[in-house]
Amino acid sequence: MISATAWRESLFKALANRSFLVGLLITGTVALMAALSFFWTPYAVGTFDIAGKLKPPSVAHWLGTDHFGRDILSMIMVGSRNSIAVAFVSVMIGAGVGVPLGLWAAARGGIIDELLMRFNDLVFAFPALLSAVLITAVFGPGAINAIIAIGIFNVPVFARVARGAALSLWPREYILAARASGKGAARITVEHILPNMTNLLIVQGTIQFSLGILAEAGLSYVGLGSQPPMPSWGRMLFEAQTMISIAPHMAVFPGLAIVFTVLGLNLLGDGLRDVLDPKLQQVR
Amino acid sequence: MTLLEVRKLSLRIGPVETLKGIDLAVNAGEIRALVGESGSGKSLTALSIMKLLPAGAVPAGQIHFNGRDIMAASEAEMCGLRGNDIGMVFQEPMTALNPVKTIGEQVSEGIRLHTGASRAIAEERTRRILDRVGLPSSKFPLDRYPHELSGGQRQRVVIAIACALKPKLLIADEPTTALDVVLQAQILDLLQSLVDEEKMGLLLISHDLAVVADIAHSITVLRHGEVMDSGDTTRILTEQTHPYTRQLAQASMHIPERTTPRYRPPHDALLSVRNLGRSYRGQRAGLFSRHEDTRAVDDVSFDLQPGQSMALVGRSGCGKSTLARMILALDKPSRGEIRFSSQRIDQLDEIALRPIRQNMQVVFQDPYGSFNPRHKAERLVSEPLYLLDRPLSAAEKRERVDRSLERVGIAPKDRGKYPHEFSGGQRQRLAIARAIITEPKLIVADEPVSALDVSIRAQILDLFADLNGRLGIAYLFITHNLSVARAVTDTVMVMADGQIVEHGRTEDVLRHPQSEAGRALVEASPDLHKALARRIGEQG
Repeated sequence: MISATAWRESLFKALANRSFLVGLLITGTVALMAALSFFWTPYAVGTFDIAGKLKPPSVAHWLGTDHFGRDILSMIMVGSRNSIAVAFVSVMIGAGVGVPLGLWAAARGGIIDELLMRFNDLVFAFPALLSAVLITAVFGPGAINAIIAIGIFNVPVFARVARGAALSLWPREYILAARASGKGAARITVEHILPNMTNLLIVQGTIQFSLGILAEAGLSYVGLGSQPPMPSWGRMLFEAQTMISIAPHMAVFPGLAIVFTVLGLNLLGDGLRDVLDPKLQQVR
Repeated sequence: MTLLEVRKLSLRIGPVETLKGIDLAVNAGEIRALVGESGSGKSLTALSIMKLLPAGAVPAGQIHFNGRDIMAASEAEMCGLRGNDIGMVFQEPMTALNPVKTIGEQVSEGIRLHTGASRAIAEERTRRILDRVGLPSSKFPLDRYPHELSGGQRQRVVIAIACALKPKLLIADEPTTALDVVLQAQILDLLQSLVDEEKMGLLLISHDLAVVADIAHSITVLRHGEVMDSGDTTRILTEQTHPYTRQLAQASMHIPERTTPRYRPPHDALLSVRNLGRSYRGQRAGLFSRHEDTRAVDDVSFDLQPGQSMALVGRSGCGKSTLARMILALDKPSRGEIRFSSQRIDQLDEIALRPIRQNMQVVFQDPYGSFNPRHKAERLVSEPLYLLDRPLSAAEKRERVDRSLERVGIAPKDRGKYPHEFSGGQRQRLAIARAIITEPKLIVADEPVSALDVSIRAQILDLFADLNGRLGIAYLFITHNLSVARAVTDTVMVMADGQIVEHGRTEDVLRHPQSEAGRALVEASPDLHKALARRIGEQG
């Protein structure tokens, strides 16, 4: 049980960590932007204004307009939903399947470990993009299929991290003491193994989250992600490609959005790892 | 001639003054022991001399080595000195060696770096120094990797690296703490003969007076960063004028008072082990050759009575811990049987074992590794309560945790702390509190005091003896240190190569060991009384 004061205290501690704070601010801004886009955007993303196309940033259009005269700020806002949803769900799929697999492999060892990990290697051998091409070739392109493809790509990553960490924890004496207290492998895994690898998983999670955002951008860039007219950061970059000499702002702003989101997530992950580790909390 | 002179050395790390005006001198050919508890500043003093202090540490005072001012020396000058003129040996031979390089590469590295010698010449010198430390290249070729060597052999390699260039000063920071007593005696012997031959100065750091009493010419006693006592070994140890020196000496020779009768006539055994064996499958030499099985435990039989305290002594790798794990049902025996309260336990599954486990708990060596760092003391100590037939309410649980904590001398209010907030000795108390919470009949303790300072070791041994008397818990006490066995046990078993080679009353075995393994352990065991008697005898 955590009392309200203890909770507030750990929140203060967390906010004193600079990379956590900066990461939280950046990630929070992106998340807010995505949430806001459900209710309001400066312009509707579906409206074309051919007369006002390829305008550089101005008071009317803060980040300028694209080759159809659509407002780039509005498109980035709506596109962030897509990026966040794809990355988040695919990380959940990866962690939800991969972590239990890795823990199981480490706890059982032997032939189960061998089978699971070799199967992992098989999946790992295909890059996200390739498996996405495969899936979209079978099921057709779209956001859902992109999520599944990136999620499958995340499974072996989490399985490996979880198995490696669990293997290094199993011979520890406190695990032996827990076994001497009659606890079975499943219970020990939940009580002792998993809590001691949370920081690893969180850091891996934020890395995979940012990779997911990049992968989604990559898939949309080659036309396998979410389909038009739904805006997406990756496709905005793709469309900007041919205009780069006349309207560089079309590429710069979605690119910056990706960079900032990835940076913010990495900082947040670093900060969380430090904040969650009781050994790193200074005794005052 | 004074080789190393440290005057008024102070060290500040942040707001804390860790060293306060340390004076220390080492002459050529002299062994100077630096003795103190953990946190007394021994290692920081050594690191100050090497100028290898952690970032943020601010030293003040004077350090002169061989006429050179160390405090004023640049990093480039220090690189020339380190390894060449000042060698260093660390405590943990496992981590002091690079696991991916052969021992030959690691020893010759320093030789080539400092002398610019060719590969062939450096190799020749490497062969010579490894031969000198007892690793002749006929048996230990230069292309061996650290993991192919035992702990003692690895420490020899570390010493070879430190001595390869015949340094004028060798600093050895707890060089034998991670080793068993027999290896400890061998390594101390080696250091002494190196000093005698090469006229090196040796700064020998230890927490145990008994370890250094044999070979040190002079002793400096350190506490909380201050020199308490300093001078000739014989004088320091015979006069013991300083109260702290006396305290350390007593801790080293400590024997707890025991209330239980030292020996009881046998009746129904609590634990009975018959013809127990455990083999591990070795590597095959070739595809068609057979597995060479190694027998970690071989045909072991013994009985333990209720309330009896029995020591299991032997060198590292003799099979003590494997035996303990089988008794604790954490490992399955290959042969033989184990009975606990007349019930056979070696074939039971986890659920059938629950009532047995309630009566059988464990304390490990490492007070740092035996707790989940993410749980608080209350949860850690209450873990074995999981074995009870009915779940306890939160209040009942807390009551039992508090009672257990009180029994081991920890304030119940500390139950909300994390393990890293306790000191090493307190953590070992927590481990004992966890072991006694189900009120077991047997505790298996695997080297429970080997990682502790002598002064804390004495307190923990007192606690073991006290719990044995008050709660009537039987112990199987695993150790390689005989003074520990003497302190808290009635009977002792000596184990060598997986077999019990000697079994008898503790006093008898320690006084007149019959087996070769027993004799080796008794002779190698550091003993302040013996060391003093020998010194006084030598001086007439």
